[in-house]
Amino acid sequence: MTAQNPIVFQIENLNLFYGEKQALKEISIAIYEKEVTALIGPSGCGKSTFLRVLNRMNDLIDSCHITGNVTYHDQDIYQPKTDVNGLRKSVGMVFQKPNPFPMSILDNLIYGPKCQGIRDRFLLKQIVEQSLKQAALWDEVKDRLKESALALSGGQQQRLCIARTIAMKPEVILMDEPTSALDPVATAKIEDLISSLKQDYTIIIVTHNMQQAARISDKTAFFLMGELIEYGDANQLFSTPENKKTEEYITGRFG
Amino acid sequence: MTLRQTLEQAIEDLKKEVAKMADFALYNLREGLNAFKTTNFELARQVMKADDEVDRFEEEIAKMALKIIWKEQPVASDLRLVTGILKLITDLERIGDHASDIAEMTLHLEDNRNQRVLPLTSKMAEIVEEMVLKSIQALVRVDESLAETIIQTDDSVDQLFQDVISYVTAELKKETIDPNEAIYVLMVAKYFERVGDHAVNIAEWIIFIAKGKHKNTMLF
Repeated sequence: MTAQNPIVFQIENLNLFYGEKQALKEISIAIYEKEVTALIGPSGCGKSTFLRVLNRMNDLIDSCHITGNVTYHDQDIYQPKTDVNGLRKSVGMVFQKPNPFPMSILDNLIYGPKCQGIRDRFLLKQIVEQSLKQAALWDEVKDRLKESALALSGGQQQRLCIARTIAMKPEVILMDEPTSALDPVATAKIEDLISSLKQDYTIIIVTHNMQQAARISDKTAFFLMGELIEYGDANQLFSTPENKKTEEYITGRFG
Repeated sequence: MTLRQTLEQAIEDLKKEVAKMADFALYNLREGLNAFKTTNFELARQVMKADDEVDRFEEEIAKMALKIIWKEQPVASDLRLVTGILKLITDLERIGDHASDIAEMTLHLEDNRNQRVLPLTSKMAEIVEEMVLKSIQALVRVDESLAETIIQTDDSVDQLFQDVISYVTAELKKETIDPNEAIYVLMVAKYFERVGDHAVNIAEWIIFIAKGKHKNTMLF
């Protein structure tokens, strides 16, 4: 047995409601540092909702309220005094469809750091190069940084979005089905990227692609109708799941 | 509606084919012993020839299992079943080989034989056949407790093998058995002892199919 990495997020008895409707029920789970955690489950099971709990993206939905504890490095992130912008800087997010800003590749990458008050051109240049290299995009775009990000292919755009997240020097990257709009080659590049990024970041990814979860995740959580049914090492969950519902879902017997 | 009917059908077909292979190997084992007991050269040759069919089964089942892996990418119980079967057909194939070996021993024997050692060998054969039969049942039902009983039975087979050795040694000392015959009788007993070991291997793969564990090691 290898030693467990430190805990980044500790969630206890989390309930989330959209108005009257309960979308998450009594979720208790720990997310570990520098691991890839995959969230799987059928549509509407609450996995994306859960992902958005982690950087308070659900705040944008008026009717949404939660009970229970969500701590990030022992800080309750739902305390009124929480600096939500600071939280979202530390806990970045990549979405299903690549959503680069309609500006140049360069501007996409320096937009965030500039908002943070970084003006030093040398430093900004360094951030651009580092984040593009980490996102495995540098070699493809280094000679066309001034071109529009929208001219990139879908896969490149998604890697740019990952680079843009990295440019903010986060600790955690949330990914909501980051490859579902991409072809197999672009998907494979993102998967390789995720595996290399976990050296430096904690990654939590929602995916509908079971094989993807099996390929890239260290731990996998299976959600069903707002409940966390099973959570454990991906190795164990995909070979010898403990719960019959997990077994039925991952073998494709229902879902 | 049950989803993944193609996968379920493929797995059903795979299990049926393994059961057929096992039936075939078991039949050859029985006929091999019959040939040995009755010094029936014709039957012995038939059994030896029939082993080709067991080998063909092994290849066919391997193809079916590999096809399920690349087409369906099974996980969890499906993955354990398909990979477990891929492993255990090697043992079934070996059981077929030993049935053929036993039949072959017949060809080295004379008609006038020491009848006293046969009951011991027959007793061994009876237990071993039962083990193979149970292993087929345990596989079809993925019944780990039945698989456990197969593993436990093997000790009595080993004991009987020791008894055969002692018996034959004693007969040799008394010069009441032809040394040539003694060798072949011992080899037949050894083949049955090996078949028992292969039945145990199959049982261990059935426990893997049930729990992912092989001889107390988690393989995942």
